[in-house]
Amino acid sequence: MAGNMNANYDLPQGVERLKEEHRKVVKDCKGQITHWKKVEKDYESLQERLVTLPDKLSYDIMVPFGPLAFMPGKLVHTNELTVLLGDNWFAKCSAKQAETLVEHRKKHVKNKLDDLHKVMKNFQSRAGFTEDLEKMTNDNGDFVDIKEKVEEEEAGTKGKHRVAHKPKSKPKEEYVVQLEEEREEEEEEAEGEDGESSKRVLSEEELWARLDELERMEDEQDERDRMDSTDTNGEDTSSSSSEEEKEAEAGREAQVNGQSQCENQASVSHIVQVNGIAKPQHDEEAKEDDDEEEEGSSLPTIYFCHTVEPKKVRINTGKNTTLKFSDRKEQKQQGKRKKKNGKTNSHSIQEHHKITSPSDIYRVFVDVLNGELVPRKSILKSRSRENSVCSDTSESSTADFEERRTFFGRAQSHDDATHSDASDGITEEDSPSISLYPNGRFEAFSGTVVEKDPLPSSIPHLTIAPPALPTIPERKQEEVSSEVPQEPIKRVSKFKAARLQQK
Amino acid sequence: MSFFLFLHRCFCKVFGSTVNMDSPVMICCMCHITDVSKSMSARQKLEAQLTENNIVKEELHLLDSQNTVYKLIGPVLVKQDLDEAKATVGKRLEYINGEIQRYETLLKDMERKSEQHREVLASLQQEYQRAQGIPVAKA
Repeated sequence: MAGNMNANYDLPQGVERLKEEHRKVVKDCKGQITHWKKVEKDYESLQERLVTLPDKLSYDIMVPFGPLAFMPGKLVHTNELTVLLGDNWFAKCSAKQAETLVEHRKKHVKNKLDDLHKVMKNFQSRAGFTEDLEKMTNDNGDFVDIKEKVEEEEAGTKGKHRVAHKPKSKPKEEYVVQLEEEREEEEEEAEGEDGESSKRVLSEEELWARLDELERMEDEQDERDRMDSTDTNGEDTSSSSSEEEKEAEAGREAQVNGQSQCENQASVSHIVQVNGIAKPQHDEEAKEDDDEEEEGSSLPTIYFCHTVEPKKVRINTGKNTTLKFSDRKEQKQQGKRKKKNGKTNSHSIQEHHKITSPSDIYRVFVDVLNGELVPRKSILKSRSRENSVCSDTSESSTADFEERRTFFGRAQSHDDATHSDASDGITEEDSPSISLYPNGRFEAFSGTVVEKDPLPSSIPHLTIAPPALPTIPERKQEEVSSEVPQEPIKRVSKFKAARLQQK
Repeated sequence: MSFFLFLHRCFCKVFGSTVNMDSPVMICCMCHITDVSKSMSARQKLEAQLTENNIVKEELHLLDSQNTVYKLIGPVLVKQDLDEAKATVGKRLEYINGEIQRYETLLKDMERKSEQHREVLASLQQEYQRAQGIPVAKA
């Protein structure tokens, strides 16, 4: 704070100095302008004189003798003038020619005057800018201070507290901490649109109340999740850390609230769940929203928090599926819908056109085959590359591949189902170990990708395992979406898997 | 000159009376600053002369050969030919331009040198502060 104070103290001084300099320049300009104006006036009177001078052959005048005396005399040769051209050059010319010269000089003077006026205006505007800047820094202007608070707060985490085994995986308590900040931001953004700085300090009670509210909502959500998680797409409610859930819940809740409060910043508040660590796998949304968050500086202070990727929930069965929490629910619902309608209804495609993640693309663009919805496979999926040259890129696709080969027919679906049931609630870390069991093989991408028509390969697979239809495509989609982010996660997953296996 | 005074004050503060004011760094600095200011004023004068001669040139164009042109040399007005006068003024203009260029390069060099000196001073200052810090820590 001392540094801040010093800066604050220096700032007005600097501004004062700057303003002083501006004022000096402006004063100089004004002085010069007056001088040149006088010169111009002199030239004009000279012109007048030159016009009238040749009217008479000679004039009777009082000739100045020295500084104090005058003598009566005559002014003759009234048309002959010796003009000083400058730099010790003289020219004899008539009155008319002299007038032309004077006109020419007046042009120069005018140019000089214009330049001086411009400079003066420039500096006056500059002085105005510095004043505005000063005002803005002192008062609540449009510029905002972005601060990142790092607090240690206990906000009633429910469930077990996860201990960090590795430096990478930070203790999840921090999620909770930043919820408060996030809420602060929400409320700030909602309330402080007009730029009142007084409202940026929220009351403690409000924060705690909000915290309790979120906790309650999270509990409800968990209940719902547990009920829903009979399907393979069951959400990870018990296995993941409670903080993660809470975080995701809070994020969704925050989103809801944010929407209610401020439409344009709903997504912002949703994403601003703090993770402390800016993990490499960022949701695209998160990134965008984070940017939005930073740009949304309508208040004197914005409490900025690093984005956190939404909770990576283990999605059913042995397949490596990490999907964002919000996406999870959506897909699960859509999967159910598809399950119900998939047999006959070919219009179910229209149901979910909303694309929020890459996996949604696969959900939306499904083929209709035999009245059933056949989702298109990504070229990265092993299924689509059954007969292709390239090998699988991920463990999951490897698992799929193997399953298809070894467990053909219903057994496959059973396998999937069992996998899903078994791994329901297991974190993503288990997937490598589980998927490795049947395969024992882990191939890296050979570099050749041959895109095949997904239909022929998928038909037998899907017709054989109708119950798994909603889940498999979803899982695949999730794989697709999560394939990329998966790679870096794997290292973390293994450790977690080991830990969970111990449990 | 103000910069020099500031440097002087800084130097005294930093090194105290133990350092001789005739240290080479300070002298060099001083010289440079005076040179810079001299060059600056000379250049400004040349600028004024440049504009003036330009006006003379233009006005000579407005005149015709019927007018007699005089040049003031000391207390004497010497008659000159119009064309001759034009040529003379042109030559003077070129000379002035050349002088301005020369002064510009000089100024640049001097600026660079003064920068170097400033850096030297800053490093000395840092050393002194470090030296000051250590005894403080020890004590």
